[in-house]
Amino acid sequence: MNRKKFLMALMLSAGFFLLWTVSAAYAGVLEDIKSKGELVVSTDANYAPQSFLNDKGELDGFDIDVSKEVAKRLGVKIKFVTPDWDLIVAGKWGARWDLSIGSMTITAARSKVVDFSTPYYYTPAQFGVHKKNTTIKTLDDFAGKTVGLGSGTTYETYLDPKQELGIGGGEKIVYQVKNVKKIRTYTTDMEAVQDLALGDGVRIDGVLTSGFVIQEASKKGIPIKVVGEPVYYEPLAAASDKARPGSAELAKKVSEIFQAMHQDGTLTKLSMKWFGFEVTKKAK
Amino acid sequence: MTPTVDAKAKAQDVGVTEIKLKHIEAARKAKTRFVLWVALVWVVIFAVLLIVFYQFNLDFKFMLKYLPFIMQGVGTTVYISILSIISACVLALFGALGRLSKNPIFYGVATFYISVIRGTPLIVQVFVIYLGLPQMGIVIDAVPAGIIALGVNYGAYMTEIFRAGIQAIGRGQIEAAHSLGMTYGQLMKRVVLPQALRLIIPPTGNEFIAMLKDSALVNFLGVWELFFRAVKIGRQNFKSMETLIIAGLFYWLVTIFFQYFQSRLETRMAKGTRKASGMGH
Repeated sequence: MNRKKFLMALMLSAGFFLLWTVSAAYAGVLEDIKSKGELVVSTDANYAPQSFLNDKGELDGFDIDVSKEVAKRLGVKIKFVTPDWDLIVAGKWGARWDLSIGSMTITAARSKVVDFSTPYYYTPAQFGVHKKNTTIKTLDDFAGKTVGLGSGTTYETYLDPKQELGIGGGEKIVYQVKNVKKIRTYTTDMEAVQDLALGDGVRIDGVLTSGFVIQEASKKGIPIKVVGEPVYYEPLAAASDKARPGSAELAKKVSEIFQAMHQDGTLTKLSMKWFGFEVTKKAK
Repeated sequence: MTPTVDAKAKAQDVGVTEIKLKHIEAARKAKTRFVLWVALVWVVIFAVLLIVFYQFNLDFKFMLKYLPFIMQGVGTTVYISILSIISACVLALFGALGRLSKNPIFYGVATFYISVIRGTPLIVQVFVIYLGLPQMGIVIDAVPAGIIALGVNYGAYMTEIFRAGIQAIGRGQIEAAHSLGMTYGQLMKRVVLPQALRLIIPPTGNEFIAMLKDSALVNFLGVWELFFRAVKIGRQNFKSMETLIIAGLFYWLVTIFFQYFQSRLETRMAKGTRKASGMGH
C-alpha cells in the first residue's frame, strides 16, 4: 500500500464527511412537518389510560387521541414512534420524531433540552402503599421507609434532597415527605407498583407515582391504596427538541392548538372518555 | 474341493453374517434406549419446571390472550438477527484480513476495532450508535441503528473466528498459489476462502443463535420485537412476569428451530473431513 494513495483516500473521505454534515442543515421543524405532510410523535406506551396497546395491539389512549387531534388541526397525517422514555426526555432526537405528546411534566431541568407547550392536562403526584398496610396512614409516616419510583420521573427529583423539583407553572408543592430511608429506582413506575404488589414491605413500603397509575393498578386487581393528598400536581405538556431549528415555533403552534382544544371542549371530552372525570383543568 | 467342505464354509459364512447382524441390532437397540432415556429426562425436567412456574401464581388466561400479540414479534426478531449476522460476517471478513495483514495501518485498524468493541457493553454501543449518528447529520431509524450496533458488535467477536479459519489453510497451498502467479485477491477467492468457509460456518451459526437473544436490546430504541411487545403488555397490565415468560418461550422455540439447521449444516460441512459421528455407515 503506498502512502500517497492512503492519504488521498483519507482526504477524500474527510471531504465527503464535511459535505454531508453541511447538507444536513434543516429548515424549521414546522416547515418539515408541512412538507412531509406527516407529524411524527413519540409516545411512551407504558401507561394506561394515557398511552398503551389495546386488545388489537394498537396504540390507544388519551395521549394518542390528543396527538391525532393535534395532527388533524395541523392538517397533516400522524405517525407514532415508541422509543424508551429516557431517550425522549434527554432531547437531541436527531429529527427522528418531531414532537413528544407523552404526558411530560414541565420542569426547569427539562426546559434546557426541550421547548414545552402549555399544559394539556394535570396529574396528581401521590403516594401509595400496599392495601394490607396499617402503619403508614399519613405522609409523615413515610419517614424511614423505602419508596419505589420510576427512573427519570419528577417523583425521583421530589425525593432527592439535593435537587430542586422546579416544576413549571408555579405549582404548589408539599415537601412533607423528607426522611425516607431509601429510594428504589425502577425502569418505569409500573415495575415499582408490581414490586409493591409482592406484599407489604417485601421489597418496598410504598410508591410515589401518578394518582392515575395507582387508580389503574387498583382497577386491574393490584392490592394498592393511596396515602394522603396529592403532594403536587404536574402540568403535562407536549415538547419539541431544542436542538432542532424552529423548535420554539412548533411549541408555540402546539400551545395555540391546545388553547383551542381547551376552549372548544375537545380536551374535556377526551378526558371524560379515558379517565371518566376532568383532568384538563388546573387544580387548586 | 469336496461338497462337505463347501457346505461347511457356507455355514460359517452364514454364522458370521448372523453375528454381524446381531451386533448391528444390539447397537441400534442401545441407540434407541439412549434416545428414549434422554427424552424421558427432558420431559421430567420440563414437568418440574412447569410445577415451579405453577407456584408463580401466573394468570394463564391473560397469557393466552396476549400470546398472539407477543408472537408477532418473532418475525422482527429473526429479521433483525439475520441482517445483523450478515453485516457482522462482512465486517469479520475485513477484520480478519486486517488482523492478518502485514500493513501496520490495516493491522492497527483491525486490532483497535476488536479491542474497543469487545471492551464495551453491547447496550452502550446500541445507544451510542443510535444517539451519536444524528449528531453528525446521519439520521437513521431505530431498526437500522440496531442492526448496525449488533453487526458491529458481533463482527468484532467473529473476526477471531474468521481469522482462525483463514489461518488454518496450509502454507504450502498459499505458496503454491503464489508460484502460479495468483494475486492476493485471487488467492483469497479461489484457494483460501472456499476452504476456510468450512471451518467458519459452524461457529457463525452458533453466533447467530446467541444474537437472536441479544437482539432484545434494540427494544430500547422502540423496535416492536419480541421483548418490546412482552414488556409493554406486561407493564400496562401489571403482569410483567407472565408476558416475559411468553417471550422467553418464543426465544427458546426459535433457538431450537435454528439449532436444528445449525447442526445439520455442521454435519454437511464436515463431510469427508471428519469421522462420521453417531450411527449409520
